[in-house]
Amino acid sequence: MTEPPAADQDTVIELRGVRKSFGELEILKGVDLAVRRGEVVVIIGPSGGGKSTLLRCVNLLEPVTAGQVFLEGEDLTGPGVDLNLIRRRIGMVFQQFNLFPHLTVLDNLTLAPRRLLGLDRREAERQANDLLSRVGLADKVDAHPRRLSGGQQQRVAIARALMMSPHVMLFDEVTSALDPELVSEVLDVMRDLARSGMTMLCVTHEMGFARELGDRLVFVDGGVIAEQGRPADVLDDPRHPRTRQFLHKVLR
Amino acid sequence: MPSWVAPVAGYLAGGLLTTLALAAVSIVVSVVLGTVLGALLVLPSRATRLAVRCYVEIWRGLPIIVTLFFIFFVLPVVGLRFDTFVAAAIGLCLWGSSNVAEVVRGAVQSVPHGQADAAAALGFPWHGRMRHVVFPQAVRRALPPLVGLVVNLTQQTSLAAVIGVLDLLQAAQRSIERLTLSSGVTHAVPILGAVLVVYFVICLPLTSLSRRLERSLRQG
Repeated sequence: MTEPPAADQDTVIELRGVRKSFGELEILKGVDLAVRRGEVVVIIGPSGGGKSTLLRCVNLLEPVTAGQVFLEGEDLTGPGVDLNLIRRRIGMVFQQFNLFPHLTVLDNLTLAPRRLLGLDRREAERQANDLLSRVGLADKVDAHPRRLSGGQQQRVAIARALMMSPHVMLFDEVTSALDPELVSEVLDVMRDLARSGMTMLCVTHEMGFARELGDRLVFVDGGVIAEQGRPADVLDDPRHPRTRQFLHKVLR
Repeated sequence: MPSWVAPVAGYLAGGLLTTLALAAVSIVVSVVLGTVLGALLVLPSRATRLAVRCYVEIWRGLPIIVTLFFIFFVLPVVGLRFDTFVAAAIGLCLWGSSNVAEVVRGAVQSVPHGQADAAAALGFPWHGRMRHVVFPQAVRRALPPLVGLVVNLTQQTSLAAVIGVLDLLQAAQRSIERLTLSSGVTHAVPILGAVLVVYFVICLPLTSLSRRLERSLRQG
């Protein structure tokens, strides 16, 4: 590596000057962001502002147009990097759950550890059962995803990501597709996870969650980080006019 | 029973065997080759996709009967000579495999992108995403239209009669002509009636299978 990241061992994720264009359209216009181990960073902002794209650039589901992405000091955008190996260390949960509909809940959890980590069936299933108990779904191991409510599916999706023992978890508007009464069961799981010390990067519209659990709030608009700080500070006393405008709309 | 019935029935049975053989060969080759081609159509490689796309568009776009005439009457001009059965089988396989390829491509692409994203995020390389996540779902989506294509291929084998393959239809036609010449009476109605019933009996279970698959797919 020609230029080691300024960060020490405690920086899990670092984005440097990340730009992303889709054709002519530039969605990210130079984003710098470092996430420390154990930190919970909450990303908010208007839709179309680039926050989901930003998250998808962290594990390079969207290849970046320019800039660098580091995971624990390793440059993911460098030559010869096996992204598939890197992604095992980055868990991701999606708005639409994306559970595998042809597999049972148990097989959804064990597929990757068995195929990618070479875990034997018994060990994989033991870990899966532990995690399903942790998200309160021990009785759903043999169910197919379509038999579950949205909140249950999202909890399974979180457990599936945790099966790979990720060093950081990305949450992409994970409660936005849920009926309102199902939101809290997913936030409860995320709260447990945050308190257990997991490093988390969450795109969300849940301002209560941001205030309660976020170590840092990042406001993304127009493809850049317009403002960031302690959640209470940003939410109660936003500096940037666009932050003020946005919060005025969503908190009304 | 009139005396002409037994020999005609035997002759038709021979034609039926040819029809079934032609259908079997076309179906097996079309499904195998078409699945491979369809898989190539979703490869990231642009050059591969383009080459397969050309094949598919040509043979799917031509009426089968034009393809059959081309193989049987035009290719011998450049020295490629096939017997009628082989020529018919080639024509049906070209049409069948290009249609199967489209069905397979469509089924793979109808699996939501989020599925491949989720598999990629877990660390699956491209072939792992395809093998464990996308293809198993695509197969279920592809089955009903595939069965439909199998029915269609079976029916299209009757076109082989126009280049002289002695299939069920051709056997019936020749029987009618000979009976008309020898006895002066046309037995077209009972003979063609028998042909109609035979095709119906072959295809009915397949079409109902297709409907059943579609229903079970809808119910998930």
